[in-house]
Order: sequence, then structure tokens, then C-alpha cells
Amino acid sequence: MTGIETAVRDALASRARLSTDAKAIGAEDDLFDRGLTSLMTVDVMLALEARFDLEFPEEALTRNSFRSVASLRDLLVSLGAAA
Amino acid sequence: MTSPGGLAEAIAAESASGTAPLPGAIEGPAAVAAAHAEAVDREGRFPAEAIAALRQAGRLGMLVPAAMGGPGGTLADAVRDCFAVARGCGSAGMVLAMHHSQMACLVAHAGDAAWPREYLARAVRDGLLLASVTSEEGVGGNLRRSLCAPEPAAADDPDQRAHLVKRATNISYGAHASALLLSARRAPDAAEADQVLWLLGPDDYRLERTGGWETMGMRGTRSEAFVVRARAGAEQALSTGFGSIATETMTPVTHILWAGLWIGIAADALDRARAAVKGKLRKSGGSAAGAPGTPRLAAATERLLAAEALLASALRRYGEPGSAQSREMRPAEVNMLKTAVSEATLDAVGQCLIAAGLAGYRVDGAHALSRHLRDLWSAPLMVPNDAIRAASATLMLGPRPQLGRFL
Ligand SMILES: Cc1cc2nc3c(=O)[nH]c(=O)nc-3n(C[C@H](O)[C@H](O)[C@H](O)COP(=O)(O)OP(=O)(O)OC[C@H]3O[C@@H](n4cnc5c(N)ncnc54)[C@H](O)[C@@H]3O)c2cc1C
Repeated sequence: MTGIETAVRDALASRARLSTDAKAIGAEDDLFDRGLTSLMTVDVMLALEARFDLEFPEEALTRNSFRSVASLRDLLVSLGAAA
Repeated sequence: MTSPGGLAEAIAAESASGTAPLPGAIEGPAAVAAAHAEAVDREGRFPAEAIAALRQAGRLGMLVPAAMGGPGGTLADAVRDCFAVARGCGSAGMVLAMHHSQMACLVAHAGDAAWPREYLARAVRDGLLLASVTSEEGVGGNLRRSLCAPEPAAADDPDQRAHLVKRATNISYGAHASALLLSARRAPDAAEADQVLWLLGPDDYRLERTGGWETMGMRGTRSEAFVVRARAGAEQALSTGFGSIATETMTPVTHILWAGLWIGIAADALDRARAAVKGKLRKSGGSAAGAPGTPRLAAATERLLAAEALLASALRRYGEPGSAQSREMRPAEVNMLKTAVSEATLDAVGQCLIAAGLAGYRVDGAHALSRHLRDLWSAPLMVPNDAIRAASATLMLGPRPQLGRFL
């Protein structure tokens, strides 16, 4: 597991109330099917922006960006996040 | 009964598809709704005549695509129907809107699953009415929380289907529906927001009425409280989680259809107020320029045009239920359609009342506006605008509506 993926799981664990432990959730599992709501995505985003000192661009603020641990990890990588 | 007019045309122009002819016309059922509106309101009874007319005209299954055995109407078609029916009777318009919003959820999320697809084919054939069970004692109007969860059948029970018990605070036309879409937690140990939507057919549930519906308005929706007791097989739970269904389909489609019906109620109020103002002017023999009441008619129309523009824009941004485009409509935008249109239409009818004066204030006569105002006061309350605005505020720091993108 990459450091970025670990940070994604940390953010989900501290900022979203999911049914499944964020540390144990499958990387491709649909987070919206685990109780993630649009409102929770805002706090998850804020936590990740602070952790990696970057900003999610407007185009990235879609449901698909937040759909899974993997999609968030890929987004962060594309934004140049360094673990 | 005048024709739906401008809104219908505007929305038809917005809609790229929708060329397939739909079974019956909406004018007939809309006239039936109008003819019984007063009795429905006074007696607080289900608008049975209007719903029967809609069923007979084949309008109840209109959102079901041809591939699933339906006529393949568009969301704009459904909006037009809600507008036309609500122009005659707000309660009947609300029943139709709730039904279509639930049907849209099935259409968009049935996938290849046999059970919901079979239900949809049957619903088209028999004109079945589908009700919504999202509200629950203990969670208020928050769609994204459930307390109830399926309990497995006892090992020695010959019926191995799960038990579902939900204490619903409101089920519109619950006693008149053929089937229910019911939200529940995925499992007894699931989080409140980890929800699944169950499709319960006529033989799968019993309703125990636990509360009535003696309300100010929308009296014909009969949105009573019930305990739902159901047995359902695993195949009756939609495979897409309710989180996605709620965000991508149920909430946007509901708010779009509600906007259509609220504008319909206000359009009838505007017609009545205009007739009252004209009638008075005719008696006095005065000129239209500066005639009393006309500034209020203009103010009401201005608000309704703004509401229509919001609705047309929401339809364009959302597209059709289940489409890729629909999944990316921003929740805050869907919220703002609801909060803005609910208040604009209510405010417009207030302007109409001032324009009509005592003719509108009377509860009898052709210009009475009491029912319209009372029906529309449900708009800001059904899913409270304060709660919706609190959610929109949070979303301002995340996926906010994109200005300019759809100009
Ligand atoms: C005509 C009609 C038809 C309906 N049909 C159905 C149906 O078919 N199926 C169904 O399941 N339900 C139905 N409902 C119920 C509806 O879904 C909501 O449950 C209901 O409107 C919530 O009412 P409430 O006032 O009890 O709200 P609550 O959510 O209990 O809120 C109570 C109060 O708290 C405030 N509040 C709540 N949350 C917040 C917040 N986050 N921030 C600020 N203020 C807040 C609200 O403003 C409100 O004043 C219907 C309602 C109406 C009016």
C-alpha cells in the first residue's frame, strides 16, 4: 500500500462515518455504498488538501473522484501529491 | 382548463429526445383532476378519479423505456404532466410526482436484475402506483439516514425471506399504492447512511396505520404514518446502494418534478387572480394602464418565470435518469432548485392574493386562492428548506454549482 493510499484511508477514517473500517475497505469498493455522503466528501477533501498541501481543482470535484480509495489515490497522484 | 402553455413548450424545446409518441394525452386527466380538486381538498381524500384517469391514459408508466416494456417518455414529459395535473389539483400533481420519482429510481437502477424489470413491465401494463418510504420515526426528513434493517428469517421458518419493519412517519397515498420503495440500513450492523432500497410488491407487505393526515394543505396526498411489515427476498434489494440512488436519481428527479407541480399550482392561482383583476376593471370601465392589481400580477409572473428558468436549466443539466450526465449534477444545485422554487411559487401566490383582493380571500367562488396557498405551504416543509440550506452551505467549500458552465 502506498503512503498516499494510507493517507486517503486516514482521511476517510477521521472525516467520514462509513460502515466498514476505512483501513480494511477494498481499494476499488464503492464508498458511496459504504455510507459516504456528498457532505462528508467536503471534509475528506479538506483533510487531504491539508495533508498534501494542494488544492483539488473544480473539475476534480465530481462523485467519481470520491467513489473509491483508488480513485482518490489516483487523483492525488495526478495532482502531484508526494507521500 | 387552459393548456400548459409556455413551460411545456420551453421544456419540450430543451429536451433533445422525447420524439416517441406517448399513449394518451394529459389534457383529459388534468381536467378530471381540476373537476374534483375542491372535493379532494375539502374531504381530505385521495384523488382517485384523477389517478384512475392517468392510469387509463397510460401516463403512470410513461418513464419506463421501451427496452423495459414502456412508452419511453422523458423526464421533461413527466414534468409537463405534473404541471398540467397540479394546475387542476395540487394533491393529484403531488401524487403523480412522487410516483414518477420512484419509478425513475427503478428505471435508472434496475440494471439487469429480473425482479425490478418484471415489476416495471407489470407496472406499465396494469398502471401500478408506487409509493416512497424514506421517512422514519427518529430521523425526520433526512433521506440519508435509516434506522430499520432487514432481520434474517429464523432457521426453522419455511419462509426464508428477510423481515423488514419500518416505522414510517409519512407515506403519501400509502393506503392506495400497489408497491413500495423502502429505504433501510444494509444490515443490522450497518451505519445509518449505509442504506439499501427495497422494492416491495403488493403481496410482500402489510401496513398498520399509526397516524392520520389532517393537514392544512396537500390533503389529498393522504401522507399518513404507517408501520410497514414486510417479507422480502434478497433479489428485492436494488444492487446499487441507496446513497448513489438518492444522490443521482431520487433527490434530483423529485426536486425537478416537485418544481413542475409547484409552478402548476401557482400558474392556476395566477389565472384566477388575473380573472379577478380583469373582472373588476370591466365593471369600473377603467384602462389597463395603472389598473389596480396589475403590478402584483406582474410581480407574480416575474417570480414564476424565474422559477421556470431554474427548472428548465435543471432539466438541461440533469438530462435523463440513469444517464452519465445525471450522475454529475452537483447536489447543491439540486438543493437550490428546491429551496428557490418552493419559495418563489409560494411568494407568487401571495402576490396573486393581494392582486385578487377579497375575491381571492373568499374560500368560495371562481377566484378563491386558499387551496393554492395551503397546498404550496407544504413546499418549503417537505424536506425542510432550513435543513437543505444547511447542506448547501457545507457544499460551498466542495462541489459547488459551476457558474457559467451552462450559459
Ligand atoms: C405533502 C407531503 C408528502 C410527503 N410524502 C412523503 C412520502 O411519500 N414518503 C416519505 O417518506 N415522506 C413523505 N413526506 C415527509 C417528508 O419526507 C419529510 O419527512 C417531512 O417533510 C419532514 O418534516 P419534519 O417537519 O418532521 O422535518 P424534520 O426533518 O423532523 O425537521 C424538523 C425541524 O427541524 C429543522 N431542521 C431539521 N434538520 C435541520 C438541519 N440540518 N438544519 C437546520 N434545521 C433543520 C427543520 O427546519 C424543521 O423545522 C411528505 C411530506 C409532505 C409535507
